[in-house]
Amino acid sequence: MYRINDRLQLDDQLGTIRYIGRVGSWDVALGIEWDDASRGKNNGSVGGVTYFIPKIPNSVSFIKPTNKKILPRWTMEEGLNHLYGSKDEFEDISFGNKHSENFGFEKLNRINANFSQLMSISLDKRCIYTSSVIHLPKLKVLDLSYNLFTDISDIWHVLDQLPQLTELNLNGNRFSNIEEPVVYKKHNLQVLKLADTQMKFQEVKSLLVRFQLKELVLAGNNYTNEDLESLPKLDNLDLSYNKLTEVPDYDVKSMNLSNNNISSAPGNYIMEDLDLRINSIDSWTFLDSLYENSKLVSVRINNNPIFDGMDEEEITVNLISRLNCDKLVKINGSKISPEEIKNAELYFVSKVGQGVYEKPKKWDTLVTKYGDKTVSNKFNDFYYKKTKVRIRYEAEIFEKTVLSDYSILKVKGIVSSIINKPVFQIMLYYYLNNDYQEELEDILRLEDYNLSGEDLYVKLVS
Amino acid sequence: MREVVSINVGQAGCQIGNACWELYSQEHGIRPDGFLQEGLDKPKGGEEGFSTFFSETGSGKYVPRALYVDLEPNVIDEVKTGKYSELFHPEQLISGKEDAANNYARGHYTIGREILDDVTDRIRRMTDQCDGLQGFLFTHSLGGGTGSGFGSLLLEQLSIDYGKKSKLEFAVYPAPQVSTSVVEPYNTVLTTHTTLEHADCTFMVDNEAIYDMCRKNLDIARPSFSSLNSLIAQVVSSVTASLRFDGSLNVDLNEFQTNLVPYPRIHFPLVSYAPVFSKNRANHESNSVGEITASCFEPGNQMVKCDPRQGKYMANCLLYRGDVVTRDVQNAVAQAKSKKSVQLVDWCPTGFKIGICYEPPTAIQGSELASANRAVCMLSNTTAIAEAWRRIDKKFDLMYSKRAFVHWYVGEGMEEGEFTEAREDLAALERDYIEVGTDSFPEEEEY
Repeated sequence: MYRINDRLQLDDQLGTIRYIGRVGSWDVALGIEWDDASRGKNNGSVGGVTYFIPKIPNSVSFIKPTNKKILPRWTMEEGLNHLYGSKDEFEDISFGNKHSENFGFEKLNRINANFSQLMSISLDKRCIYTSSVIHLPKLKVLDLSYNLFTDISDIWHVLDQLPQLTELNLNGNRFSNIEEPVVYKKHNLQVLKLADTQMKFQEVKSLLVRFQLKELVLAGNNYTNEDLESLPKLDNLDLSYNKLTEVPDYDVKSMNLSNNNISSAPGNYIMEDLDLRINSIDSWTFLDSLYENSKLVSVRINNNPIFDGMDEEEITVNLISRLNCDKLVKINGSKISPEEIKNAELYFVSKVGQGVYEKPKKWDTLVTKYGDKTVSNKFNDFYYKKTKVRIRYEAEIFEKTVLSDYSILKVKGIVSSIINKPVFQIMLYYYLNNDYQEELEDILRLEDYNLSGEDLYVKLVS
Repeated sequence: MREVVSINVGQAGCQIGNACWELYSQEHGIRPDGFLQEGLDKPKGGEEGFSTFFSETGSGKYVPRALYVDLEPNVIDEVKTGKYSELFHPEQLISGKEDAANNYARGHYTIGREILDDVTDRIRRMTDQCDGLQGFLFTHSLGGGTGSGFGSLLLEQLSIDYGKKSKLEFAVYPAPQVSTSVVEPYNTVLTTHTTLEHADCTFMVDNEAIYDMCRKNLDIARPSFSSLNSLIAQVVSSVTASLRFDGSLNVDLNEFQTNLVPYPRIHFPLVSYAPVFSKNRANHESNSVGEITASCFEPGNQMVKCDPRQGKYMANCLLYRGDVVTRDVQNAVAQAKSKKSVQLVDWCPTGFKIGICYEPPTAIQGSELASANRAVCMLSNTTAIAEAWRRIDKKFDLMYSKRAFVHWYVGEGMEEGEFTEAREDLAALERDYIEVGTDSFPEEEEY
């Protein structure tokens, strides 16, 4: 029969029994806290009586234990025999007057029924609630996700019987009893998936002492940054779908932090692969703080508020120009080539020159690579050296736009084309004051005279 | 021995070939240098299946039964210098010096003709090593110059040289999102016309559909050709899985035809594949047999953009892969059947075939596709695929009504009449599809 904290599945929904006893006119009712809160009907109260208070508000409904929609529970052995050990023949499926033809299912049954040779077993969502004696000496991959386990010792019991197991999926089970036995065996497990188990972080840590994992999945467990504690070295860590606000500092190669609320990155990171999709990153300083990480190979960061209103090209340019590109080869799932990096960085430098973007932390690197285009760039030179001169010839006055580094000879050339006289006949001078005039010499430049608004006079010599 | 020779033509063909062979070698436990991975004493997948795609040399090295052909050297050079350069013998990589410039006529007539003898020679050498050649597997694009022009030329030639040996194609259907030239509709119509009677079964891969899958399912912001190709490779691998591994459905190339092709011209099955999702979704999406089967009937998992709900199925093969149990498959197919949208033509006695390959799919390292311990690939011959032909015909007509760009083709010695002829053939193909979709004894008919 059911006990408090047992799990059950009704139709497609999983829930935890939090109350057993009289409710209203029912002699025995089960108070269920549903994993999917939207399945709930109330907050643990019926007819003004509160029976218990759920963790998530309004995730409760009361059902009769005789409800026919409650699926029967299995032990692991039963589940295994039921599915993999079954001798079911493929029953005929007909489409109107046509029949389907099936090939290879007899052999599939034979292969699956030979437990001693099986390498991979998926028992996901099969209402399994407890372990049993099993003989699967070659099993490598075991999927027990979304079952009804509540006692972690059942999992130890399973693991102790599977010497070859490398990957275990426990997603969606809710363990209420995580007591540690004093004596334990070490396991060869490399991949452990604990997504949507709502386990406390200390509980996860207490499990990890048994293994030397390469990959750990802790997605969808509602962790905040305060919940996190140190973890051993890993290859892959999945913390997606939690409530983190900062990028945590772990010694891992690849970290998945998508679907959190991350907006800052205070640590010193060394990961190679980082997934930050769908977070709350809203300023470029975030990328600056990642710039120190020279080991970054691949990054995914799309769907963050900072990129709102930008097109993909612009996003890529910004990412390339703000992140450390020593090893970077993949941005938002697409490979980038060295040419693309060069193009993007050059474009970015010119945009900073025009004042479109602020200088990022990477600026010094960009400047050593391409030169500082904000100080001396051809366009700007031209712009700043532009100057106007007013030239008087007899009674005429004409204005010309020239550059301040034009030589006087060149200015004479311009004058000569206007007044239609040969250059050697032209003499240019200006008034230092009302009675002193100085001649401009051919080999000097306009800027050497430091003229400011003075008119130039033309005199013809023969 | 039932060998299959793979022939990759043109830039798209060669690049997809690369992605495929990378995946095949991983699935069979072969290292990039052609030797077995450590800890294996024989290749994975059983002697019979494995030897259809790889041959073994005296030194214990395995060589793909594959040929790469391109009219220009760039892509082939990449193969020669790439990670898998040692896997292939230099004889298997043929490149010319002058490219087809996206022009069917150059690939088919002028430039292509020059290289044809060399290519057929090498194919002959490869087939001479086979004990019981089953046939050929072509990979090429319909829109490019080499893939369309030279691809069809080679298919014609193989029909002459090898008579009734099966010829299957994986053909990349052009899409505006990743287009390289404006004349893609011309090339597509011309090559389809030429190969219609030479290819026995053509699996089309619509770049637009793959592009959308990359964006929506794999969440890749700017899908590049390499993103598209690695997804295509996964699909090609699951179509050929039954040839390479023990399986009881489509065990040889002929069986693809008998199962899927009711009339010689109606040989364009629609391919669907599931699961396709990004790594960050792997722990949130259900990968149950029921879910992946249902996904196969969703337009989002199809390799060609069309709506099978508007058409009728003539034949349908579901090929499961990896860790499944009979009961789940049974329930999943029964579920799919109960959908109103699955309609079969009435004149075909059987319609649904279901098979299983016991090896799970393999994920390439660094791929955006989440690894899965099971997958399903659906090959269905549906009348809805005629939509793809209608689309390309329309684009063809738009340009051809003004004879735009036709001079490039005529300049290479092609006659303008071939355009009209090809277009008429495609119109006939569209009509064929309408005809096979019509019930032979409509229920509402009265006498």
